[in-house]
Amino acid sequence: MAAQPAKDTSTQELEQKQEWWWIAEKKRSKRLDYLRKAVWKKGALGGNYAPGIKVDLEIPQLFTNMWNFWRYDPPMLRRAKSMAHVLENMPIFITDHAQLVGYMGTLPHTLAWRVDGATMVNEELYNEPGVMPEPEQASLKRVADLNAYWAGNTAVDKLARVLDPEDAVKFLSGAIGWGAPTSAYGYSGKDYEFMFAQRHGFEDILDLIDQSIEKAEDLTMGNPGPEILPVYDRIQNWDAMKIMLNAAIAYARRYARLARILAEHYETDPKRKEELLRLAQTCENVPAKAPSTFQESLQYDHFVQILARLEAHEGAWPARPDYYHWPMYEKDVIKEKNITREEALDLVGEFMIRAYEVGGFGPRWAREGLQGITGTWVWTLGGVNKDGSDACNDLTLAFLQAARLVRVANPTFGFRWHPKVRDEVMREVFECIRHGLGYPSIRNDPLLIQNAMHWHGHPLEEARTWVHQACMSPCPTTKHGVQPMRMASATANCAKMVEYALHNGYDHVVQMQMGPKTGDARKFKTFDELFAAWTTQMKWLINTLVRTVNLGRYKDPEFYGRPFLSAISERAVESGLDVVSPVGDRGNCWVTGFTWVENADSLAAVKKLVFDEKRYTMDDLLNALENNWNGYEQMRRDFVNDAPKWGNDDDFVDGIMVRCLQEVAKHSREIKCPSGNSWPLLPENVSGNIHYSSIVGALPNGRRLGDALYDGGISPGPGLDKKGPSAVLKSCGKIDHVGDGRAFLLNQRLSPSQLAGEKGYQLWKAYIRTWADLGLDHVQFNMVSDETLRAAQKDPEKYQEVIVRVAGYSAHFVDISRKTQDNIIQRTVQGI
Amino acid sequence: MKCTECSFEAPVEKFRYLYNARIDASISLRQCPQCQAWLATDELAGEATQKVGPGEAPWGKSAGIEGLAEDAAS
Amino acid sequence: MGRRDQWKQVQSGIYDPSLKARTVEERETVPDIACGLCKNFAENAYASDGRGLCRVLKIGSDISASPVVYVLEGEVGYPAYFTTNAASCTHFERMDFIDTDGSEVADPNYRRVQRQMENKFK
Repeated sequence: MAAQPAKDTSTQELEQKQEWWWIAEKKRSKRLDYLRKAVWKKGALGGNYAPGIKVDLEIPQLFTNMWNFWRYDPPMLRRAKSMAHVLENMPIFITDHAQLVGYMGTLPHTLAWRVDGATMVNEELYNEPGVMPEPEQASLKRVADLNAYWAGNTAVDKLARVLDPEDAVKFLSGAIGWGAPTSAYGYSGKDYEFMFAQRHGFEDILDLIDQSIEKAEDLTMGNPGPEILPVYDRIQNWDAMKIMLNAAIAYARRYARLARILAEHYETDPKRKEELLRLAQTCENVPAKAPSTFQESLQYDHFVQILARLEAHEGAWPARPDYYHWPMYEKDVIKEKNITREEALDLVGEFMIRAYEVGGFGPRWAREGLQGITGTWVWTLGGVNKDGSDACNDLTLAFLQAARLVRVANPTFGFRWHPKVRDEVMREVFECIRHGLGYPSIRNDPLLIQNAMHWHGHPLEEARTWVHQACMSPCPTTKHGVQPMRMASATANCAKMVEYALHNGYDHVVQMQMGPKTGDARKFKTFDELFAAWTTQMKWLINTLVRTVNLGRYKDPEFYGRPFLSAISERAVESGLDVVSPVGDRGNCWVTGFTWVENADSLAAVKKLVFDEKRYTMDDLLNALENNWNGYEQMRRDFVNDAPKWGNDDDFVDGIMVRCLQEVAKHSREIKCPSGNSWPLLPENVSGNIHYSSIVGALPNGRRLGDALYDGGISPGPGLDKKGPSAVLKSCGKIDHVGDGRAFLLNQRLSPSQLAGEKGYQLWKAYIRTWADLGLDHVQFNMVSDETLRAAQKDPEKYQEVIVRVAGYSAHFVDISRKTQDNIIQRTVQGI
Repeated sequence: MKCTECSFEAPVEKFRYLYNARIDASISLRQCPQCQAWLATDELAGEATQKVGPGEAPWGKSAGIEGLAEDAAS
Repeated sequence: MGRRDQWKQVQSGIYDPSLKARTVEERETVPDIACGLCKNFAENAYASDGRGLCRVLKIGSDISASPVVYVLEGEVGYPAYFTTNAASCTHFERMDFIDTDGSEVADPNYRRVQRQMENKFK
């Protein structure tokens, strides 16, 4: 890091300058400092990976060799055997000073490559600048050979052959959605209740599987009949799970052996030697057995996460660490005092760093839509216990404190606020926000529990276990509540709804008739005609994406297969079915609504200026839009400034917003997931608003092709919320945050100067009370000044550690593109 | 429109439209196809006003409580 | 031709199976007159592996055939790759400026971020 402050700069001076990253360096332990700096960022800088980050070719090669060898086995068994080969043979490493181990590459600065996921991604990797390991020519040849093997045989290829070809072409145009309809890339929920609450180590699970096989064999060795025929496949699946669990135990014990060798033969520092031996013992114990110390608890969790990521490219990290690691923390730190709180804080900090370290090669749409990070690792803190009592504990505080010490952009936290949260906890939450981390986001726990029961019928006790499955969507961690795989391709580029309504379903950017022909908008005489066209396009767009995901989910056990994820899920261990199979899954689907608010602002502008006031005709508007507003600047300004905008407590536009959401909610109940449950909308954006900026055409809200879309969810357009924070909250409060959708992201930018000191905390706390009273489910804050952000643009080397909240995640400011930076800076700074 | 850097002259739409950082203002960013400079462009007048470098924001400050959020470029 | 067959044709055009057989040399070569250098080529908005659609020619066209087949009416563009040889295409219009900077975000009209394109303009 460049340009450190003078050594005698006091913490107070740094606080005044809001240079929190230097304070973190001063306060954290030497170990955390070393570990934090030893990790190279794996998130893309805009859309490119950082210099020095290379793709790991060893694991795809090992996997492919064995995949080819076992080509006559069914999918789960074939994957299990191939993965076991990887786990037995991949090089492993232990970072100096580390107390936790496990990485999904064979070298520290490598990106994992999911070689069997999608041919398009493989081809993209071949063409990608800068990521090939040296010597480049040899790597190119190796990748070309691997690509040739997998072309046409990846999970997405298989699904594309089954999908309706029209759906396949339109989805893969990239105009209406993103993600991949396969568990090769997705957000896998973890059955934490099974692993942690019920305390199952992998050896315990192996015993359970053996019992299941024994019962199954009573059938297969008994009287013949049609009912026993599916049991043969299940036995093969159980075999696959066993292979994975045994391989995972052996993989952990390779670390144990390495740590022991280092301790006994190479390490000269007695303290480190002791640590390495403890690490060896930890890896002997977990994941084979249920954890018996705090370190083992964290290590068990980390192994699970790494193993799942070796099996598939996981784009999210659903977790609730203060809840599931609390029993061992309480035992070691509070009851038995086996370790000090400072030692525990070191472990917590390192646990976050180990997650920050994780990186996989993602296609460019994912990199651009998640700039600066490698996936949405949103960990859940706080909330309530199953009986409704406050679940916040000393480990909640430790995570919030460690976050300020390590200052990673990933993982971030979502905090489950409820009225019983103690002031001490709220202060720690606020400190993280004040330190510019952009997290935790604040989630309205009582409301979201109600929402989970409303949309998906989760029983109260199960709903109370919820974690963020990705950025925003709550999902229980229970046997029937956990959603093992959320495929991200039900992510709708919603601005296309209004764009297609205005262009008769034709997409001028991708040059294709996409949506239904809803009529020439030039001939629309009433707003209701336009709204009817919008509704038709909305339904078509959501249907196309949901059909794709439903089929992907249904076919995934055949086209991909998740033996490890199945082995850690009670449902699959019991049934012998691939856990991705919808059988036994209650259903927790949602449609992510990118670029949503443009619909309300655009429809309101047309209603007011064309149909109500008749200042312009539909011909005028369509001419302007077809010319990307070139030559129509005054008219464009009228559409921006003279039409009401969402976020100002204006019933004209707010009414249209609510009407749009209610139309979607109605449709959400008509369409079903493979489990027969609904598909509610969840408006949010990550940095998809920037990715889509040159893919969404000009709109009546005044944006041109190229302009960033609004930052998402139900956040007002940057700079367009002119009536203060209460007006924003009031607009958002007109939405029914239970019945109108699954969750609604709200970005707010606050002034670090205004919120300094105790007064600042009290102001913020009062704001949160209003937010809760108005029934909003989410809010997150940026609290970094224009001054700092502009200075960081000017001198990025000096401001490497400035973090901002993008939308649903945080990123280091210097890692996001200039367009994204400007979009964040232009968000209104609200005085509260 | 004329590029303020290399004097390349062409109709405004020949300059690559990048984005408008502030939707309610008429200043957008365009890119000169000849020298590739990012140019602040007054869309009403159809004129390039200046080259835009790192940290510069010719469209002005963030909306909201100005004075508390000071702008380095102002 | 029925709806499904029509879209199957589009699908097979966009997801060309012949990709599988390409050598490193074929993958590395960007012809001097290539679709990726043409103003009328719009890169796919989903994958940045270099596939895209022509804005002028429609599905059913074939610029590698002799004589070249031009279809100018239709609801889907002609699928091409940034490396597709466009020497025989009379609709080829060389771009004045190609953005190879991958640190910004998708722009089907101007940006070509493939390593081969970056190397071509070095």
